[in-house]
Amino acid sequence: MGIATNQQVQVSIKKPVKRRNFKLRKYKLSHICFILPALLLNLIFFVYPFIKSFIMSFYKWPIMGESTFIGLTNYLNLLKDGTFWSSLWFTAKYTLIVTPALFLVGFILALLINNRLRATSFFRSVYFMPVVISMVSCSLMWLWIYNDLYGMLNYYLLKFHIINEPIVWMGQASTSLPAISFMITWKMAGFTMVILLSGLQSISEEVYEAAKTDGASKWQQILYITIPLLKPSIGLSLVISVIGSVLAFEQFLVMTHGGPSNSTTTVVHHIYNTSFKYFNLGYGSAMTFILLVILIIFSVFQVKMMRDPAGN
Amino acid sequence: MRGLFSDLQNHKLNYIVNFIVAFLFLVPFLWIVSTSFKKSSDIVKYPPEWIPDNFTFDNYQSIFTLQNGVFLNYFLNSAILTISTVLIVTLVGAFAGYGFSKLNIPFKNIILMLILVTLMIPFHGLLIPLFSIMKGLNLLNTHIALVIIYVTFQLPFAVFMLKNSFDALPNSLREAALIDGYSDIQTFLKIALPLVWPGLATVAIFSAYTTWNDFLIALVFANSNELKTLNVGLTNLAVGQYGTNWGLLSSGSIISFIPIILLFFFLQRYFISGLTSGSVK
Amino acid sequence: MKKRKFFKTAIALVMSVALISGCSSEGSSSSAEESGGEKVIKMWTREASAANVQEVVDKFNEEKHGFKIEVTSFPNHSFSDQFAAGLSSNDVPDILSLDLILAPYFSSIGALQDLTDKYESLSYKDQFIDAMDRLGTYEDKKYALPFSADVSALVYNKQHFKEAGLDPEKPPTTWQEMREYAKKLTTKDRYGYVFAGADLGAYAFTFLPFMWGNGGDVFNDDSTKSALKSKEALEALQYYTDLTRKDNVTPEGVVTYSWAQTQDAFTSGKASMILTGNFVINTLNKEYPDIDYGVTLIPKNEGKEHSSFAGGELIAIPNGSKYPEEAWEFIEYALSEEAQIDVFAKSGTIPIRTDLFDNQYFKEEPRYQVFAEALKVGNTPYTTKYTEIFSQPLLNAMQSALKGDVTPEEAFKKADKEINNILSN
Repeated sequence: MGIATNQQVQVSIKKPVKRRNFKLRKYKLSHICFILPALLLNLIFFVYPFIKSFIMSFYKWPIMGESTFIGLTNYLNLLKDGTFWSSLWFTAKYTLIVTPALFLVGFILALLINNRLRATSFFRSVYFMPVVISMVSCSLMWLWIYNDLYGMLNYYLLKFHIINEPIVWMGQASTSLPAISFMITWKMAGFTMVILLSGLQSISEEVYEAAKTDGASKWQQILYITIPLLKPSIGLSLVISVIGSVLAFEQFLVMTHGGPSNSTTTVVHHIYNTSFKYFNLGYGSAMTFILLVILIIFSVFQVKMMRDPAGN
Repeated sequence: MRGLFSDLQNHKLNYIVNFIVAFLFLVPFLWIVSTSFKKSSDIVKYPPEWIPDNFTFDNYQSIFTLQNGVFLNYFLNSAILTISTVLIVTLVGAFAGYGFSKLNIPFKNIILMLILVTLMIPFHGLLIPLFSIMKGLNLLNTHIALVIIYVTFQLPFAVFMLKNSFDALPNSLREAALIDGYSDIQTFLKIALPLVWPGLATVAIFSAYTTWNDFLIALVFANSNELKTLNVGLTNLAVGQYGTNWGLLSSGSIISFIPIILLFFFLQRYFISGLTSGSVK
Repeated sequence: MKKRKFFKTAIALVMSVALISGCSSEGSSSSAEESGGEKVIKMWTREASAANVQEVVDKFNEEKHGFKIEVTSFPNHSFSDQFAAGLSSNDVPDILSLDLILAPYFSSIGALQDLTDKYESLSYKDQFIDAMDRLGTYEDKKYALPFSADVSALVYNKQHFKEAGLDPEKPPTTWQEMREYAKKLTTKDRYGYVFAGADLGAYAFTFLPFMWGNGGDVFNDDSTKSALKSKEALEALQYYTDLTRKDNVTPEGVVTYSWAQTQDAFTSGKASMILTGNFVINTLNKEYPDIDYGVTLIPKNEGKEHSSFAGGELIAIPNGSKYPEEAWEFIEYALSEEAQIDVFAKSGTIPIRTDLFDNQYFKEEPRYQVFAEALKVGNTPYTTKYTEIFSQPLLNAMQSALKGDVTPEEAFKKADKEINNILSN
């Protein structure tokens, strides 16, 4: 249901629309064919395995041999699982840092390159470059940069007397979280930029012309025209970065191993450990399901927020 | 045309700001490039050395010659997978995006939600059931299994991106076409689709880099040597359990990221094509 | 005009998709069961040992046994994911070379075939390294046999020793010496002693020997209870904690280091002594010929014993293997003198048979001898819940003590309780 609201935002901006087919009350097969390939793929390769995984969450499910039905035990255990809740809290903090950072940087970049100057195509590619390297290579490289003994960051910070003692960047969550968030912002802002850019492209020039003749300043234009009209793209980019951050895993696996003392373990890391390191598949499924419910609630909430005409 | 500085007629300022930001973005890259031209004994030198003292092409040479040039094979595998996935995702996503945006579909919102939910699941949570499905379909260790999974998990983004794009087109466009005697499929292909190039280009880029960079899915579902993808293969060659071969990792990363960045460079003109056509009213 | 062109393009796209998928399915058929009429036996291994395993397999395939072995390797951390997924769908290889530490678990769930009879038939079965042999045993049956060995020892930079006024030919042998040397070696931009404290495998590899040598252990004899509360275990953690917190000869960031970072710290000259394994020699000799280094046994507490972590690979036949007979034929070859010396010893991996320690490669590179010595005093923790215990209670205890969040006593007291909880589940 969440997404219909996007459409309504759009519709409310455009002129009122007659729903031509609505009267017929009959759905056309040819219309359904448009979504059929997507639907089938989704049903067979997502919904079906998901249901299987959901069923697993009510079992003690080893990787081999008989599984035993244990009702809600996995879910009850989850309530007592300190690591699960602390990892959820850590993931929430990470998401709260990364999402606004990505949006802000991505938005500024999109504005910077939303023009037809010749050199802009170069800049655009440069901002997109980090998106293209693989997460594993990227994490390894930055881990090297952040290393407290031979890393480049500490070297320059010491050299220019910004710090006196080397900082152990990965030594505690209070420094590794900002450090990894910074890396992710560097890496993924280019992607947000592209989503927002494609939204910027669909705003008609005339709206701005009209605003200009009314004497609106550049910042007023951004605030009162660009942002409200960009809502569908902003919504999409926010939903994507929230989901991406909540599911963060690889960068922490490589850079902190979730430590020290579990202080940087994300939820997905914990699920991964439970399922594939401790081989407790049923419990892993239960956590997956709970995480999914949380994400759905969040996304619905987010889309609702986007519909709220705060800017008007 | 609505860039930050454009209507100040101040191109210079735009260039300057872009230049500074671009430099900041490039610093880590320059480091990778510099590393790729160093001998391994010079790589972890401290203090860091930006211009290699002993400049060498060894890392580039060995990445192509290691294990009888298996790297090229990885490269080809990734190219095949990426091209297939991008085409299918864009096509299936465009049809679905148009359907959800403009057509009357039963249970539209429920289906949309189902598709969006795909994005929200940690892949490890589905791995075991998906694995047994692929085993049942006899698709384990094939590229087809990978393409199917990539498409399924990239569809949410494609569908929503393109639905947004089609939403921005006025419904009157379709109505006029239908009155002119176009069928729905004709309207979609001939009128609507050419107007959403920015969306299509975005989806294609998203799909390309996601597929190209995937590690986990490729590792689990197509692990035999002749099917290995670039990312899995590079990690295999350069990242050991006990030490990272920085030279190989850098040269391999640079080579592997060139195709996608070139693709971006050439596709980006479609991001701004909406400006020229100006037909969206 | 434009519209027609677009339509054409769309059709072309669809066709090329079909074509490409066609091609890729063709490509995949080559990995099917039979290739060129020859039986293909599938083998899985970890990437860490893939190069060696591949070489053994190549030699074996050259001999033409009427079937072919095909090796697939996985990054160390995803090996168990892959095997778990395979087991759950009964899609397993015919031969498995696995991290020895995981063998008790996979034996216990019935994933591996009972090889007891075949084991008994081996003439050299008494020559296997004890610690490794033990890991392949579950309830008195043999499920996995030693295949290749990794072992930990202290590697030190001789140049740094000279600069600090120490004799580079006399590395530390006791805790007390090591501490004293580390203090001398530590300068403004260099640390005396570095190890990998972030990675659970690495830290087991580098820390546990201190505990074992001192007479302590993680578990009691039959691995049913924690033994962390013993004085001996605690002394080891106290020693480690002091190196970081009191003497500052180990960087505080050590709890964040992986193997790779430890090695980088050594090769960049920021660390004078590191605890690592025999695999490092190959890398150092090949990539860093300028570093003059020595190897010695892990120092012992005064009046106590040397110890080491005997790690490596075991080789097994999974239940569900389609060709167990052929698999065994290969295993016998893999344990033979030919494979163990001409491949493993040659590349710096210690053979798993003590009767093969005395070989030409080890004579040429005396530093390997130290590792062979280390293997004789090697130990390996035996538990079916290795990852759960070592990645959580134990790693957390060590990290929080080294970071100074809690005292070593408190850390081990907490871990003791948690380990007993896990073991009783």
